[in-house]
Amino acid sequence: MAVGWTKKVEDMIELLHKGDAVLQMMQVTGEEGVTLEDFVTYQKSLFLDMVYLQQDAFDKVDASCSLERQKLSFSKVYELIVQDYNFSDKAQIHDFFIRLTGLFKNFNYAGKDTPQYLDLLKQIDELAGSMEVL
Amino acid sequence: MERMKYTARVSSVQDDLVTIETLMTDEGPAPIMKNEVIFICPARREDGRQEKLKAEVLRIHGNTADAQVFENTTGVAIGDPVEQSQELLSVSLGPGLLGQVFDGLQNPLESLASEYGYFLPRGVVVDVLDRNQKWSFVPSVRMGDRLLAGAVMGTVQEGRFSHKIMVPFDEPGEIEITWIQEGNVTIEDPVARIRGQSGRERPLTLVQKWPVRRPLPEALLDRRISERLYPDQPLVTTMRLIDTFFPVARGGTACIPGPFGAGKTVLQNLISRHSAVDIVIVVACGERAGEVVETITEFPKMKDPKSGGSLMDRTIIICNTSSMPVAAREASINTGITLGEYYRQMGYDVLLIADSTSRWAQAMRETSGRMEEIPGEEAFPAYLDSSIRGIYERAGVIQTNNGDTGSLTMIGTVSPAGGNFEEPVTQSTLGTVKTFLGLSAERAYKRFYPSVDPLIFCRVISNN
Repeated sequence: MAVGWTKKVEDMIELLHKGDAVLQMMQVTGEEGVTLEDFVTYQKSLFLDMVYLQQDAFDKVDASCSLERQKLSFSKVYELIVQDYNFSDKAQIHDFFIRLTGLFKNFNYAGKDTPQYLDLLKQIDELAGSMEVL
Repeated sequence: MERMKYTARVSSVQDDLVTIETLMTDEGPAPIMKNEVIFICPARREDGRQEKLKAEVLRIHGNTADAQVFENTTGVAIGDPVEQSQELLSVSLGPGLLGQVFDGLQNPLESLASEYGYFLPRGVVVDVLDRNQKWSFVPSVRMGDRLLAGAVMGTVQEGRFSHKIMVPFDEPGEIEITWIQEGNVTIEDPVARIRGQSGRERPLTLVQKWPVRRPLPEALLDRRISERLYPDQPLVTTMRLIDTFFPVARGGTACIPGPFGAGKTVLQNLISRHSAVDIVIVVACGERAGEVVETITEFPKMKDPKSGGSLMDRTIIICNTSSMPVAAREASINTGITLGEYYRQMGYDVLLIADSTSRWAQAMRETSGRMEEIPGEEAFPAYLDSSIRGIYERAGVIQTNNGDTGSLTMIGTVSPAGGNFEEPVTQSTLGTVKTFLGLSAERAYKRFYPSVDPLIFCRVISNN
């Protein structure tokens, strides 16, 4: 697939496990009972699940994702997940990941190389860049 | 059908398991073999039609044998005559299979329905392939050429596929082509004559038969005419979760276990629609009829992403739903695999979807119970594990005689009651397949699609 692909996939599976563990903690303690760091881990695993693991079978574009596009999407998702962000509270984290998920889902629905596709990719980068730790 | 001599009679009946006793002939007791097809002939119906109930011999004791009947046995009585076919349960392999809907014994359901109506009578036989359709045969060998089993003699065009006509797969040695001719022929017309090692000459048509329980390339592999290759390429399903996280190898095996309503059938339908394969065989084995109807009605309307034609043009459906006789269900997967092996031998990539192997195992349990075999876990026969392995082992990548590479990928669903992955069918399947796509009810209820739970995979694999 690509150099380092297997390692990246393993990292993402690890993230899903960690996210699940935080979710189980939150079911007992509530959102307030976990640290900011754990909450970010949970939100990142949720983001991976919502935009990459799931597909919309009723959407013409998203129902079938070519291998080429999978490589691009996975690299983008991986890049967004491993990035460090500068969050001050949980509401901000929540809001950021909801916006990012929305943009990425629309990106999944956009036909390859259409103006919408390129615009969404730009919006995703801008949003991620706005919270990036410099 | 050619009139056969009655060589046995029914000696006991227990549901669809019938014991027969062979009769004495001038040469002694009539021989009988395991997995031989027999026909039970109950008393004539009021309308004068003689029913012939197809059955398969499962076990032999001296001059008696137990046979599973593929039809309802109402009215079968002790003493009813039995015809022996002296053939194993076989399928017809030839052009015209694509786009067809068969039952588990390769009866074409559309032809049956047009001849007898939607409520199919028992004991009727119709042609598997259309006898009147003409095919344009183009030979690729000449008179005097010497060939081995499985070698391509010529082609006919079946839709967008070049259908290779091959030397019978069980031909023991080298054969010589003594006559071959190009032209428009039906499946019954001879297209070539061959002379075998015994010196006997015989005609070949576009069709050959193969027993469903015997792997088609078995003899070719033993004689190293064909070669089994290691599946090292991924099968692109265009599903991100599968291709990235849990890839299925082209020529490999996968299972989709999941509780009822978790979306097994939907996932299989979408895999069959979008996967990068040439031919798809859907074996609807013991599932509800509605689910198959959906496939039958939707596939012709759908576009094949590869060719732009109808999806049905590259699909064969083996339909043995829960409303059809249980015994035929057990044979249906073997029927589907044999058809898949046939197209693989032509060098095509074939995907076989079996829905569901649990119901197939239940059919085996029912038959085993009636034969009073010692039960294993949850009353499944003790040989359940080896039977499941035997099925999945028929998948693989094969390099054929002329160097083409074909693959048969098998994806089977498992329906564990209550989503209990510890039950024997799931456990045996897990020990065999290379990819595990476990579905969870929780994700399905959240409307997540595909509802494959990546964490189930890790839990189940670590438990095993």
